Amino acid sequence: MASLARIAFSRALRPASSARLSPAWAARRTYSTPFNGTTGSSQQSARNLAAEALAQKTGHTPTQPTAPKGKNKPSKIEKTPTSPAVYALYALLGITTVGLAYNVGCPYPDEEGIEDAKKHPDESFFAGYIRRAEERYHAARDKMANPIWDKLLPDPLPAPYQQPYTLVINLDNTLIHSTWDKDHGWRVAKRPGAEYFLAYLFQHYEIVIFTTQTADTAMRILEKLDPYQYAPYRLYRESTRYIDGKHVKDLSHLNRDLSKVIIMDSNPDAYALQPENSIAMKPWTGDASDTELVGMIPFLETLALTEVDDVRIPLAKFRGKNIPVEFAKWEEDLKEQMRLQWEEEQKSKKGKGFGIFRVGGQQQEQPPVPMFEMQRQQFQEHFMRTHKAVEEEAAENLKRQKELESKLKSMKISVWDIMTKGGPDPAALAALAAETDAPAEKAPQAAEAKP
Amino acid sequence: MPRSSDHSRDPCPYVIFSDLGASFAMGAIGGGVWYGIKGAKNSPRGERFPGALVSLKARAPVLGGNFAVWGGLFSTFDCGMKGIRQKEDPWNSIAAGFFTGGVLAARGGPKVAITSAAIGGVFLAVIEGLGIVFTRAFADQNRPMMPQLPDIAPPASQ
Repeated sequence: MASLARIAFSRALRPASSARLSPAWAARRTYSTPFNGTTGSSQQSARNLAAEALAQKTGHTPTQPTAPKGKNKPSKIEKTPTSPAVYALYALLGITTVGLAYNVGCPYPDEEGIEDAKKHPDESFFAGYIRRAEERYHAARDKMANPIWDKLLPDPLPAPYQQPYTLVINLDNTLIHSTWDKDHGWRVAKRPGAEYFLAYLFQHYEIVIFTTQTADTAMRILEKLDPYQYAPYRLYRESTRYIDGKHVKDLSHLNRDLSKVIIMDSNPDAYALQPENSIAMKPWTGDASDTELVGMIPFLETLALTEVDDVRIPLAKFRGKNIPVEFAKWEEDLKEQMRLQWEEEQKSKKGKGFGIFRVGGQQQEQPPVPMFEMQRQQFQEHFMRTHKAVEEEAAENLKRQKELESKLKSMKISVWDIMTKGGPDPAALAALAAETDAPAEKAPQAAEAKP
Repeated sequence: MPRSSDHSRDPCPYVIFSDLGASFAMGAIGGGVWYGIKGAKNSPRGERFPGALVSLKARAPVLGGNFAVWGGLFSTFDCGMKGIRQKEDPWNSIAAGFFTGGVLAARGGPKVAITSAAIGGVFLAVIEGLGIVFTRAFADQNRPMMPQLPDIAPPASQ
C-alpha cells in the first residue's frame, strides 16, 4: 500500500511533458488518503510525506500541527485573567457561609450557655450543634406562629374606669359581612344592631374586637363601624396564634383574668384553645332581619350585673342552646319562683296578726322582681337619655381631631424647626389647637348670649 | 361569601385579570425606564430623546408582556391551588411559583424545566417569607394603647 502511495506521489511530481502525454490521467491526482484503507503508521508516514511535499512547495517547514477541530477547537475569544476582586468575593462568600454555619449551632452565649451546658453535660460538640440548630429553628418558627406580643392588651385601667368583665368579639360574620361583586368590589354590611350592641355593652364590658383580618383592611372597617371607640382595643391577624394552618385567638395572652373574659365568635377555630369562655354564634350572612346579636344583650348584661365570679359557669350552663330564647325562659322561671315565694310569704304574713312584726310597715302590692332586672331598667333609661348627647360630643371631638390633623398636614414645617425643636414649632402647634377649639367655645357663648 | 379572606385583593377567578394587568404595568413601566435610559445612552447627542423613545417603544411592551405572562400564569396556578386545597396558605403561592417556572421553561426539556421551577419556587418562598416578616415588623404600630384617662368618661356602671 505504501508503495502504491509512493508511486502515486512520484507520478504527481512528473514534469509537465509527461502530463501532456496522458493529460486526463495525469490530471486525476490519485493521492491515497488515510481514509480509504490505510491504518496507523501508514497514516503517519503519509502525513510525513505530505509534510515534506508542503515544505518543498512553500519553502519552510511548518512547525505547528493544525489546530483541533470540532469540540476541541480553541475559542477565538481571548480570556481575560480573573481579577483579584472575584477571588475576594469568593473568599467573602466562603467566610460568610462558614460564619453562618457556626452561628446556627454555636453554644448559647452567657448565662444561657452555662445552663445549657449543665442540662446536657456529656454531649459531644457535634450532637450539641445539631440539637442547638434544631432548637433555634423551632424557636424561629414559633416566633412567626405566636402572637406578636406576649401581652396583647395593656394593663387594666385604674379603678373607676376599668370594667370587671371583658368581651372579645369577632368581626367577620359576627358584626359584619363582606361580599364581592364585579361592579362594586368589596362591600361590607353591618349586622342589624351592631352599633347599638357596642354602645350599650360599653357600659358593662371592656369590649375588644379581635379579628383574623389584617390590620390594613380591618382598621378601615372599624373606623366606620365604631368611630367613637366603644371598643377601644382592636386586635388583628398578627395577634392570633397560627396552629395547623388555622388562626386561633389565644385568650391567655390577653393580659386579663380568664374567669372574666367572654369570647363571641362565629368560627369555632377561633376559640379552640379556650372553648369554656366562648359563646358560639351562628355566622351572619347578610340577613337584614337577624336579631341574634341584639338578643344576646340581656344575657350579657345580666352576667355583668349579677357580678358572677367566674363567667365560665353560666356559659357552660347555656352551651349548645339558643341563648336569647333559653335565657328568657330562665328569667321567666326565676321570676315565677320569686312570685310563688312572695305569694307564700304574703299568705303567711296575713296569717300573723301582730302589726309590730310586719317588717317595713308596708304591704307590698306587687311581686318582687330580681335585682338585676331593676338595674337593667335603670341602665336602659340612662342609656336612652344620655346616649345621644354622648355620641354628639364624641362626634364633635372626632371632627375637631380630623380638622387638626388636616391643618397639621397643610402646615409648613421648616427643616430648621425639625433640627432644633424636634418637630413642628410648638407655639404654632398650640396656636393651631387653640384655633380649632375656639370655634367650639364661641358656639356655646353665642348660645348663651342669645336667650 | 367569597372564599378569599384577603380583602385587599379581588377573589379568585377575577384576581387573575388584576394580576395580569398589574404585572404588565410593572413590566411596561420598568421597561420604559430601563430601555429609555439605554436608548438615550446609545444615541448621538442631540438625538437622545428620539433614541430613547424608539428604544422604549420597541422593547418596553415586550417586557411588559413577559411580566404579564409570568404574573397571569402565577395567579392562575395560585387560584388553582387554593381551589384544590381549600386552604389559604403561603404554600399555595410557593407551589404556584414552582409550576409557573416549570411551565415557562418547558420547551427546554425536563431538566431545564425543573431547574426553572425550583428557582421560581424559591423566589416565591422568599417573597412570602419577607412578606410575613414585614407584616409583623410593621404590626408594632397597631399595638393597643391604654386610652388617655381624662378623655374617656367613666362608664355609667360605676
